[in-house]
Amino acid sequence: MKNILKTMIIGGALLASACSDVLDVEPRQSLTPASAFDNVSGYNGLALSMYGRVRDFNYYGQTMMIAPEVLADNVLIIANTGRYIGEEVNEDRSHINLWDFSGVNSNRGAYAAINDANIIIDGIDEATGTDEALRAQVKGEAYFIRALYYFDLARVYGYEPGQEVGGWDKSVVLRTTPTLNFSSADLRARSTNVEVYQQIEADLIQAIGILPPAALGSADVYRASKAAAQALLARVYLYWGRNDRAEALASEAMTTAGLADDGTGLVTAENYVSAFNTFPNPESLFEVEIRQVDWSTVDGVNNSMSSLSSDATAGGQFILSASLDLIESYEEGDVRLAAWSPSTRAGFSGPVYSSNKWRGAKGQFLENIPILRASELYLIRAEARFKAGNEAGAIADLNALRSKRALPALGSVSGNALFEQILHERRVEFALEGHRFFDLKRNGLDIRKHRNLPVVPYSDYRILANLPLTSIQLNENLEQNPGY
Amino acid sequence: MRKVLLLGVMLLCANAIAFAQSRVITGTVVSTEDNQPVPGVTVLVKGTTIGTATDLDGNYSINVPAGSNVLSFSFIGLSTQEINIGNRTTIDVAMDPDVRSLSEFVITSYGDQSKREITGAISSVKGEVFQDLPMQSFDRAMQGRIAGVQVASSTGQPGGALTVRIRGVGSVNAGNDPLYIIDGVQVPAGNLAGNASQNALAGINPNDIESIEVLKDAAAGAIYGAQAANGVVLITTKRGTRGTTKVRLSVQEGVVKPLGLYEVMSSSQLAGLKRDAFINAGRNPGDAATVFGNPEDPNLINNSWVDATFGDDRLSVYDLSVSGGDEKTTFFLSGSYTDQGSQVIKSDYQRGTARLNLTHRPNQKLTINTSVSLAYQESNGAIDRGNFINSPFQAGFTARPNIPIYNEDGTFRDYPSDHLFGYNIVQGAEQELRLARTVQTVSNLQLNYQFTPWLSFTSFAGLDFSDIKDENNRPSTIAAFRGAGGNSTNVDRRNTNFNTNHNFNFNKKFNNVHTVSGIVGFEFKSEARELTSAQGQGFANPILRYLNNAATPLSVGSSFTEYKRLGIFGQAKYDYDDRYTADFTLRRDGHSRFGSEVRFGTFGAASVGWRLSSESFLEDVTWLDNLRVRASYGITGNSLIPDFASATLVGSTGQYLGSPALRVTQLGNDLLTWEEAETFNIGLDGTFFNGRIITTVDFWRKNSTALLFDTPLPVDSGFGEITRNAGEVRNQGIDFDLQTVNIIAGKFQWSTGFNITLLENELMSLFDGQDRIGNALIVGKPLSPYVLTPYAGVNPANGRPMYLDENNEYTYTIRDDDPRYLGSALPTSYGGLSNSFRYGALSLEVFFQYQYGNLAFNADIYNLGGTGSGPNNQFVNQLEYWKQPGDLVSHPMPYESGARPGGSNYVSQSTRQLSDGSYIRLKQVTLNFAVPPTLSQRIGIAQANVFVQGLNLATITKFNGIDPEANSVGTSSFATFPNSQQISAGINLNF
Repeated sequence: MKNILKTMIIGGALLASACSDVLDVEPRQSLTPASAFDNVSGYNGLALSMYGRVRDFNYYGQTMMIAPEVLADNVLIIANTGRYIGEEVNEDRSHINLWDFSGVNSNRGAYAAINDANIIIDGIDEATGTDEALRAQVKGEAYFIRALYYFDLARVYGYEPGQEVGGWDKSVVLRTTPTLNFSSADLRARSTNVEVYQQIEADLIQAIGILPPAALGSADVYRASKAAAQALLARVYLYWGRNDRAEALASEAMTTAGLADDGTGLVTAENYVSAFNTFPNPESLFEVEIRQVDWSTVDGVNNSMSSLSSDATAGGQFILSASLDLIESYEEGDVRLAAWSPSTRAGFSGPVYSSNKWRGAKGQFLENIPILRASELYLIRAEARFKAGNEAGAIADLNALRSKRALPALGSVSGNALFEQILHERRVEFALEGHRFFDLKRNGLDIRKHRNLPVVPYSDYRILANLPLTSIQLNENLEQNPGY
Repeated sequence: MRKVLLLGVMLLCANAIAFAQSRVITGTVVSTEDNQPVPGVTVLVKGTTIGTATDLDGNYSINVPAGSNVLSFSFIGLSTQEINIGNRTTIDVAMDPDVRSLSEFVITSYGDQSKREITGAISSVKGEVFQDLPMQSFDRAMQGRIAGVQVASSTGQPGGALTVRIRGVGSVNAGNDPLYIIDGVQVPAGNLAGNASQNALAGINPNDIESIEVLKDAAAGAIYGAQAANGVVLITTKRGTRGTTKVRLSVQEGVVKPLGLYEVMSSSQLAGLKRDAFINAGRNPGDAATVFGNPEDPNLINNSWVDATFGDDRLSVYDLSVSGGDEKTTFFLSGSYTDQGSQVIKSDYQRGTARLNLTHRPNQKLTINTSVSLAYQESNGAIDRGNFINSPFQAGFTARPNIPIYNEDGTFRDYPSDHLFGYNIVQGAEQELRLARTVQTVSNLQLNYQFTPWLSFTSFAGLDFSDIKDENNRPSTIAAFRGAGGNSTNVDRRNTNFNTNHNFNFNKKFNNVHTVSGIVGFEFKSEARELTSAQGQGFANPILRYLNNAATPLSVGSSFTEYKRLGIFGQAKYDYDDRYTADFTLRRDGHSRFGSEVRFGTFGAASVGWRLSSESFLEDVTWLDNLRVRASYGITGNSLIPDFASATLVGSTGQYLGSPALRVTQLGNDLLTWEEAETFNIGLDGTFFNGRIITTVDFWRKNSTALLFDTPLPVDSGFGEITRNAGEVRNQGIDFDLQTVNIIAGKFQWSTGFNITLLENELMSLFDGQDRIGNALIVGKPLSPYVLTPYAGVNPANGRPMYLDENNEYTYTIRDDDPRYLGSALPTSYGGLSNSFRYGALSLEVFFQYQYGNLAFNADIYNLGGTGSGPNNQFVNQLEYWKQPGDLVSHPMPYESGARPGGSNYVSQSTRQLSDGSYIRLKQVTLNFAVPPTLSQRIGIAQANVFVQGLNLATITKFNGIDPEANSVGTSSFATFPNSQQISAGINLNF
């Protein structure tokens, strides 16, 4: 009996002392924030993650490029696979979802990238490391990416300042500090559109101050650069209606990128289409690189821009065509029409057009996505100048671009005709690059749909996307957009 | 030790004394079961320490001193007999099997426990109930057999994983699987493989199982407190018995058939529907004809993709076991082979199992037990669940009937690229390799040392090890993979799951009425899961599929995760004269998954029982065999969350520009600790009329608190959720079980087993005062609620589908506030009914299983019930659609794409996809003929049976899909793999 008791006591004592150690288990393939982000190179890894998110199919990998074309009047759906059929007819709730896309619960939507940026901005100054250039670059990239995401969120979920319908000025929730624990994930209300635009402006000014330059069309455009930040800020000012600033920033970006007022620096007319099959695109100010390993086996055929919009690769889906409306709008001799090839599609008897911009030129549907192209600077400046009353300057910018698109200089055009011309140049220049819906929206224009579909008035609730119901139900401070 | 010596001296002394004035009694002991001699029976002279044991032939010889007149014969598994010697010198004894024999004992890694003493709620199924049923895993055997246990076969994949819920669903995000303990080895349930569902419990041959016990309340489960919140299932495999070697052989062959398939349209029906849909949507009807054909064309190809995808298949089960032993060693050795096809092409299952269970008693004190099992499983899996175009359960029904499957030369034809991503499903299912191969062992070693008759020590170590290899090859012959030159992915998984415990057991009776027993010990458990994967593409020839043939290596991956758990436990029981029992259990466990300061949790239970039938005032009630009331209360734990759920993690997430990317993959919570289940149980056990009626009823309530809850965060924080201890779920119900022998008339006997569970589930609270999480969880309602907008039928004026808005007005557009709570996916009642009829050598068992009160959502209606809005083939019933104003029909005007400017799409989520998920299923019918022994013994066979049986023979349900059982669980109701019907015939022979 004594022995037994002794054994039990010794055993119990051994057990008690061993407890805490035995249960220490380390996650071998993960780090803690403290160890991951104690130096600049850790933050650089996080910056790379932000870029990885940009190529997500729910963002610039597909949705942000295609949906704005379909929601407007540029794209015809030529096969009913269920995709974009709602967007084509502006069905209730068929819009762009940047709020909570992706099935990964812990890490979804545009705000995941914003949080990456917030972590970098908050902590990189204190991180160890001697590579100050990298520190500045990563920090500038965080400001740039945060601005890009907030800008996209703002234009999907809210009206542009000055273009509010019924005074509705709610934009999105602003967060500029990192969420690294439960208590910082408080329930916030939507900020106003002006507040969000001010944040974007501030971020881009920061980014412009510290980002390195990148030669147009060099591999450096795969990361954010000074010219990219200037170009994005020019676009933001244009959306905001601050035309003088838009003009100024467009000019600054052109200077940084080495673009001349006469269009020198843009690709020549014969290279407009082939530029999209060159990586990086020689006109890219900012382009996201994609490699085969970023995709699952079936992502190419299932989700790529190329599979959806082109018949270039056998087995592709080819469910999108240019609308007849778009094709007919091209001027005689415009090389940009070559961005489309007449094709056929079983089950669709009308003329259909396959995209030559998205041909999957890296093989197996693979290609990069240019997000900011140099030609936009001319169009931003032209529109800003027009809106500021400088019609001659506007025409000069349009002509600079037209000279690179095999088009003659414009004759005498002014007033609304000139404005229409500017919008037209944008429409054909950026066909299938995700601009059209936003160009109409920010100017308060109705969507005159292709295919005899009913007009979607600018005042219609469907111009703004709905916030996910689960977010509304969780957070009583969060207001749904009107009409949903 | 001193006592042992003393005992030896006493025995010697006793013998010495015996020489003087004794008589010698001899005899033979046989078993009434098989009339065979029993070696090793202890023969004692009552009231003395004089004893002996029977030899190999069952013979004994003993000196009985004068004054002693009673001999006691005892042997484990047989009922002890005391016999008056009288004047006899030869006493032959026939011993009966003990009523409290093996199945009445709950054998655990901690030691044995008599079921009669247990005051918790416990139910069991004996192995003979499911012997020779062609079910690959034992969890299937519990279905409908045990009150309080809901078993749903969520996939028809042979060998696939099941969903088992004991007394409702208590946890929202942590696991709800019970703790499975196979001969003491704690085995996690679920699916092992990637390419096919492979049940982690299918490594055990069900025919090896002696019994399954289910511990339902805290009192029964508290000794396993760390992980007993969802109930405990104890599996005891067969062990050998002393005596002649027994051989059992069983052979079974049969067919597997689809349970019922969707009826979809012929090509001309679909073409007609699509033409109308195009016209109604203002599209060119010629385009419909190009794709779907001209409905008037008499030569229109009409293919049945359903017939090409689904059909009958074979099943074979072979099983052999040998058992026996002598006084020191007993063994059970078995082997089995199963080969089962399924109702869909290229989905099958093969398994070989081997088992050796050994018990060795080198001396009176030491017992060594070991169970060694090895199983090899090989599955070809069809893609199961989810709206995937390469799933036969999706594309087999949705593929257009006007498209030929084959070219004229017999090769597979490419499917048009505008539908199903150009995937020919028959080709895909035939040619894509989705192979899963698993080697698994669930083995253990137990040492038991009996210090004194009342104190023993047990050391136990158990291992569940599995190695799983998943091979997926997508050959270039399939159009979708042609561009890449084919693609192969290999995944290797290795799971090592170890538990060990060391404990003292004591059991002592005082003054003949007070029995005190108990356990004190500690336990350690660890589980590690490793994974390595690699992918490559570009194969010179579609026959080549190994990665060294791949031109382009695509990706590699590996991962490792583990947890550890440590606990101490103690249990004390007191029994007074078999009338009053009380039982206390306490356990303290630490788990590596939780925050370092809050790792340890304390669990425990107390229970009392009163056996009224042992009281003197009921002694005269002859029809009452046993009557006992029980009450228990206890707290058990749950830790079924990912291994590092409490930590903030930074993980690598792919690459950019060739450099690795890092991101915060999870927000941690240092305060994360155990989820607890608090259980109350009041039970009644009764046996009446000499065992003709046996009943158990339990009233229970289980409050699950401090749930391990993935509480949502505002998505704008950058994270969707964080795991916290929050919320409370209450389950309460009644388990009722009744076994009756209805008729015994000559050779005819009819007996019935019936059980029902009535239960109620309610989410009592969430977190931070929230009253709902979206439409997924609502306080005051059961878990798994359905919150949908009612479909209001077709507007007879214009044929448009209508819904009811929040004010119950008709609307075309569903708004945020229109969906409402309609019911839950959790049943309010379930159970089973079995009837056995026996006439002489012939017996028939008819078994029904049912569940009631749940709604079921069928996502297949999105694809197949869109009245021609999409590119898919449609249910035949969709032909009754609106054609002209005034038509009162249930299906709207066909409208290409279903997307109308401004409105809601016809295929929006509404009650159109919802139906009553209740069902009654004729689960099993077995007709058995026992060949008369006089006949079989002529060819040397002790006993032979011939049987035919059917599984899933008929179902009564209002469910709008194929299989309400497979639908009733799981995250997606798209393209579920329905259960199949199985009809087989076989023989079993006992030598």
